[in-house]
Amino acid sequence: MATPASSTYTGWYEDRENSRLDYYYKGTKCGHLNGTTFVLATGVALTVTDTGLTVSSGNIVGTLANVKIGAPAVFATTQGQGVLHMGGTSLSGIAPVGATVTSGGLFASDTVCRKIIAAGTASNIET
Amino acid sequence: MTLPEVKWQHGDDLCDCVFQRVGWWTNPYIGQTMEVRLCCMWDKLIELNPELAQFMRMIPAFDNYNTDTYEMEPRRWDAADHDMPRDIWYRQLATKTGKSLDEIRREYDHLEAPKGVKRPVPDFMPFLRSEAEREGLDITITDVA
Repeated sequence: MATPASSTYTGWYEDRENSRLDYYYKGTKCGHLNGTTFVLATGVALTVTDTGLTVSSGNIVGTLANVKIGAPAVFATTQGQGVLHMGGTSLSGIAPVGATVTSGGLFASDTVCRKIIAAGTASNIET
Repeated sequence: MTLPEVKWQHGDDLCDCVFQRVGWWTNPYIGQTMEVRLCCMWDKLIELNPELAQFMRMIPAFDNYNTDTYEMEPRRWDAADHDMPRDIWYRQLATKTGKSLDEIRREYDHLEAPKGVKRPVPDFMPFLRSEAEREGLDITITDVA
């Protein structure tokens, strides 16, 4: 793999061997991009603040990953994979109330998972 | 019309059912809420209709759905930052001792449920060693306290 000459380089670096544009911070490669992909290196996190994240088409894919909403605690024994994990109302704040025409939602209280349907009826997801 | 002083909710320990299941439906436009203690209804239905007992069974083990095996011994509380809910604690004690929940409540009401367990700090040494090896660096770790 081609690398910048300086071990403390910060900035863009064209990796001609692999036909991609790498980016570095203080000598650490943080990721790369080419004509079709934008890749974060292992250990580099993507943080989106108040402007949100919009995916106009395609899928959000979490390979071997979980989707966490709110601030749920960890699972005590096994974290699992492919889990939709929601924080309870005491953790993430506010539960939905009211009609949501032609749609519905899932959320968690402190003790159970709940759903809300178009007419605004909220209920426990129980068997 | 009077409003209930106590809400029925999962984990309220207001019944002796092993798994508390409380159905709950509410709608702000209708202005009504329906709560159903499904767990108690199942038991009552079977009491009144014994032939229904064949459709429910209790298995004295945790069904580990990752390993597809039964685990006979109740697991020690291992959540990091949450204490064991009393309803779960009482039922674990009932499983271990064979006593009724009434007996357990009388005997343990004055005691604290198991506390959350503090998690150990992750071991970063294997990661550091592999990174050093990948970069061809010699490292000496002198203090890992």
